[in-house]
Amino acid sequence: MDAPPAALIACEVFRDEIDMLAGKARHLRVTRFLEIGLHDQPDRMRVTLQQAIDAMDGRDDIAAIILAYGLCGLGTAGLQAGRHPLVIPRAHDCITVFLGSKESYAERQRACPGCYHYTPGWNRARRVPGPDRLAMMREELSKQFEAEDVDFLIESEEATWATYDTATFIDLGTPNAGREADYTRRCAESMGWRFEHLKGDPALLRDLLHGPWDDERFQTIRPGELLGHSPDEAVMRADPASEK
Amino acid sequence: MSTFADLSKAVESGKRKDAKQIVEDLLAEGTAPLDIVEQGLVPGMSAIGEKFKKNEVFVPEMLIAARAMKECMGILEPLLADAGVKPEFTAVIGTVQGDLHDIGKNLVAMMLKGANFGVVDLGTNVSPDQFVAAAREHNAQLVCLSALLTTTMPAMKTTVEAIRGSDVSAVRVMVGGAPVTQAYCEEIGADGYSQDAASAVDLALELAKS
Repeated sequence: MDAPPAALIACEVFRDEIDMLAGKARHLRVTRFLEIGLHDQPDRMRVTLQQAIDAMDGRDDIAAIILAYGLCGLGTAGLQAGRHPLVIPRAHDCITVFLGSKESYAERQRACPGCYHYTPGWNRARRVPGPDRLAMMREELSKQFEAEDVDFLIESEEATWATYDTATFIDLGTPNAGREADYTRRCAESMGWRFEHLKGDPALLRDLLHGPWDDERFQTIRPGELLGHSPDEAVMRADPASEK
Repeated sequence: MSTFADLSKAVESGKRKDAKQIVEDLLAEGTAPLDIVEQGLVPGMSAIGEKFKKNEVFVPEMLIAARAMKECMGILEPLLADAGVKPEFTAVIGTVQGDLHDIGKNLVAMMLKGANFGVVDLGTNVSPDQFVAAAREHNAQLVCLSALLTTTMPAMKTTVEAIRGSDVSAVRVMVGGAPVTQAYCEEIGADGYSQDAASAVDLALELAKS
C-alpha cells in the first residue's frame, strides 16, 4: 500500500532529508515544518503539534496526517486524531529515524553510549556540542544572568558533555553531507572527541513519507484515539481518547 | 535579623553569596544547623522546583539555585556532623544503564541530603548489578533510579528485577525522570514514583519508614 493523499507535519530537524526524500511527491498536499527543539518542553510541544494537526484536519483533500516525529520525551504522547488518522514512526526520537529503525538505534546505544549524534538539522540549529553552541548559549544566558552565573552555566553544560567521547555524523546522503560532516569533525576536534562518519538508513523516513505504513514500524492513531507511550518495544500505542 | 524566608528566597533565586551570608548570620544568632537546612534551604529548593514543574523557570534557574543550596550545605554539613546529627536512612541513587543524564538525579540527591539522608551517588550509566551491590554494601533502605530517556526506561525495569531477585530484595525502590509515570512505576514493580525533586523527598521518607 502506498500512502494516500496526506498532510505532513515535520520537525525542522528533518528538513534536508525530507526535501531529498519527498521530492515532488504529489500525495503530500501540504507540508509544515515546526521549530527544532520543541522536546525541551514536552507540554508546549504537545500543544503546538495539536494546533498544527487541528489546523490541517479540516482539509478535504487529505486522508491522513503524517507526523515526522518520535515520542520526543513524551512531547507527542497525548496527541489526538481529529477526522483524519495520524501516522507516526515508532521512534523514541529523531535518531531512530536517521538510523532507520529502533533496533539500529538500540544497537548503537549499546555499542556506543558515548556517541553524540550530529545531523545537518541539528548542526544548523547549533544545538550540538561545539564552540558555536557555547557561543550561542553565552549570548542567550547573558540576557538573563550575571556574568558569573553565565560562566557557571556554561561549565555545567560542558560537564554534561564530558560523558561523551565521540561525535558521530549520521549521513543520509543529503547534498550538504560533506560540509556538515566537516562541521561535525571540527566540533569533535574542539572537544577532543573522536569523529565518526556513519551512514544512516533512510528507509524509515522514506516509508513514513511514501508508505507502506506497517504496524511493526508505524503507529496509526485513528479518530477517537490518542497517542500513548508504550514502555516496551512498541514505543507507542493508540489509547481511547476518552482516557485522557 | 535574617530569617528562614530570606534564606529560602536567596536559594530560590540562586543568589549563592547572599544565601551563604544568611546561613552565617543564622548560625551566629545561634540557629541550629538542621533547622537552617530544613526550614531555609529545602523550602527554597522546593519553591524553585515547583516553578520548574509549571514551566515558569527552566534548567539554568534550577542549576543556579542548586549551586546556592550546595554551597550552603558545604558550610552546614560539618556542623551537622559535629552536632552528632547522623543520617537516619541511607539512599543509593543513580541514573540507569545507558543513560548519561544527571541533572535531575543530582537535584534529588541534594534534596535527600537536605532531608538528612545518607546519600550514595553512583553517578550515571549504572548497571543493575551496581545498584544491588551498593544497596548491600551500604545497607540502604532506599534505591532511587533516574532516567531521562524513553529509550533507557526499560533499564529501570531490569534494575528492579535485579533487586527483587537479589539478597537485598526488600529495599525500597523509587523511580523518577521526565518520561517516567506512576503507571510505569507500578508496571515494573517499583515502590514509588515522584514527579519532582521536592516530592521525591516526601516519598523517600515515606518509603524508608515503611
